[in-house]
Amino acid sequence: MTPTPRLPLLEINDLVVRYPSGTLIERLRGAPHEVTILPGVSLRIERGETLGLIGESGSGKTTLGRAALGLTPISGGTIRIGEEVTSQASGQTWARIRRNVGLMFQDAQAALDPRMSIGRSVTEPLVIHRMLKGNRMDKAVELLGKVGLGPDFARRYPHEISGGQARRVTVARALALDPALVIADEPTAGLDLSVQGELLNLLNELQERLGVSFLLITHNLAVARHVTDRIAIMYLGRIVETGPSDRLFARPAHPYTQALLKARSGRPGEQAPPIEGEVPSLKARPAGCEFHTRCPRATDICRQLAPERRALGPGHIAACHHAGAELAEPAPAPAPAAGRPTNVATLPPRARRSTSN
Amino acid sequence: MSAVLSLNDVSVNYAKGRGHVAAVRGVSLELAAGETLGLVGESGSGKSSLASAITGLLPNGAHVTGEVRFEGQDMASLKAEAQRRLRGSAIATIAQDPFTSLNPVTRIGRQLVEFQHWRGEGRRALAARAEEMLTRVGLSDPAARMRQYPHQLSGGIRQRVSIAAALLAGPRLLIADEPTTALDATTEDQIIELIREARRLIDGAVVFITHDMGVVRRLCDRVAVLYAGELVETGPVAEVLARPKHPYTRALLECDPAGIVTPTRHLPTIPGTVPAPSALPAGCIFAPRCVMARSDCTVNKPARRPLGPERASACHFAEEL
Repeated sequence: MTPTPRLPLLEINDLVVRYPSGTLIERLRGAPHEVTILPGVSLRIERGETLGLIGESGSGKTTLGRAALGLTPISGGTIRIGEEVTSQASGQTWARIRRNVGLMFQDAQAALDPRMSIGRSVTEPLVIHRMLKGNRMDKAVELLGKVGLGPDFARRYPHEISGGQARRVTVARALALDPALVIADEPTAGLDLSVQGELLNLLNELQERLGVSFLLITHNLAVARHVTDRIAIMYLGRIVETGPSDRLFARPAHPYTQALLKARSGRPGEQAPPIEGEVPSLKARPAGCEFHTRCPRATDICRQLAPERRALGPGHIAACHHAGAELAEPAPAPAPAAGRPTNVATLPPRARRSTSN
Repeated sequence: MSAVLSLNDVSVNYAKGRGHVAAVRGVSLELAAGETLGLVGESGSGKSSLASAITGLLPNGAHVTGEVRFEGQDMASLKAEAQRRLRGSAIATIAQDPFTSLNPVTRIGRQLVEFQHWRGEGRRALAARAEEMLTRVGLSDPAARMRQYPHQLSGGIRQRVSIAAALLAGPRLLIADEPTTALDATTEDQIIELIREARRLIDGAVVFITHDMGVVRRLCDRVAVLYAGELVETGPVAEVLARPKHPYTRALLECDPAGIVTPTRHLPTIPGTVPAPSALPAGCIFAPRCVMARSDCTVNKPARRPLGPERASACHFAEEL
């Protein structure tokens, strides 16, 4: 599991995204001109690694994914993908970055042009980047084959395929340019469980075969637990905790992560009280620790002082005043099945993909 | 207890070309007062068609055969006007998408008052009732919410408003069609807790449509599993989830990543796809995807048969599971 001394594939440093906000009249009355979506996010992804970016809607996870490709203008910070570094918009660099990164949008059906055949859709990135060699339809059939769709799909149109198949098409399109990184925004939202399993297995298999890295944006922790190497938890545009997946699920340190893990356990007898309240507005960020308004463990210091990021173990970092104390205690059980005395902490680390097949 | 809802051999047929396809076939169910039934199935299983058949909200071109009885009364024998009066008073629904179920150009307060028009009370009384209900579903400052438009509310709050709208009807049958799929984990959690509490406010039964077994476990007393338009298994939740008696139910449970304790990169799936209602396989409808299928399964269609009290399964080999 030791990372190679090479540079990580993707490195985001202090990324800031602000949107203009409010009407003219509101601004004249003194309302802020801007709303800060991402107040300065840093993130890295190694080659061949899957990073899960987890957060509720409005936490800024989609914005982060889009900003990494220049689809959202950035207001500060740097993004480096492979050799390419970009700060604020510079057209040429974005074009080269996008050649190296595939993107799967959240709504697969909407991401496909309804008047374009599937074959044309999947090969469009090649045309845009002038990298198409040979016959377009042959290439389309080859790409669709990679994701397990037969050649007849190339001639079909988006309305003629199912939701699961549309996802596969967007995977094929994301892979068209042989990218080093694929950003997948909620790739399994709205899919049935068995279809979701098929898609995740496909992503894993492609990673194994092509060595591609994934940034998996999701709110589904059950999915993230199985398919990610590392996890980053986002709240109000900040990463509040990050660490290796097995460790984070076994010993979540941030109260927000703990709440998220409990929320979906779905088993009687261990229903933690649901996390109270709503995500605060980005226009009125709480002072101190931004989670203190919903945190069951908030104390005076949390209301006044923003917490530093603390290292809690190998690669495990949390931004919480009380995180250290938490780890001194025995870790809370991470939602094992009732009656099955299994603790994820005691499980052997997951076999690496290179040896698991 | 008398049945609030009873379905007897209900099928839903949609006109297609010159013929028709049956999206739901031969469903029989009984639901007693105070009970919460989980109706589980993948997309294309017909669960929404069945719900629409119960509420009488199927589109033109669809027709229902069999009997839908609400409190002993055959819905088909009622005039359209009488049916309409039942909906919105005795039968209420919570829709899947809180973003489309509320009128975007009308204030929350006015919508909640309009929903109660059948009460025939004054506006002021209805508004007071609506405000009280907003408090009950856990919204702070209900007076301010009453003046807001749906777009000013977050998804979770909007879903609370639509739950309040449903409860205002004082329903004796509440149908919730995947009310949490559009929501986040923590919001979903809050809404499930809310619906669990809401059951006490309802003097009747709840049908909860979902594809999430975790939600069924938390909310429901009984579960009915639909596959390709047919009921394949029914029974008390605890028993069905612990010891499924149909291979499809078992496969569905195995697919749930939340139930898999050891992290894995090879998630279980159900190979193949749900057959279209126009191209059903001979014999058992699940046979082409079933790991237990034997030669008999592709020839003889298994009838749903009782297996102990309150349990039933449509599998030839239910005893072997």
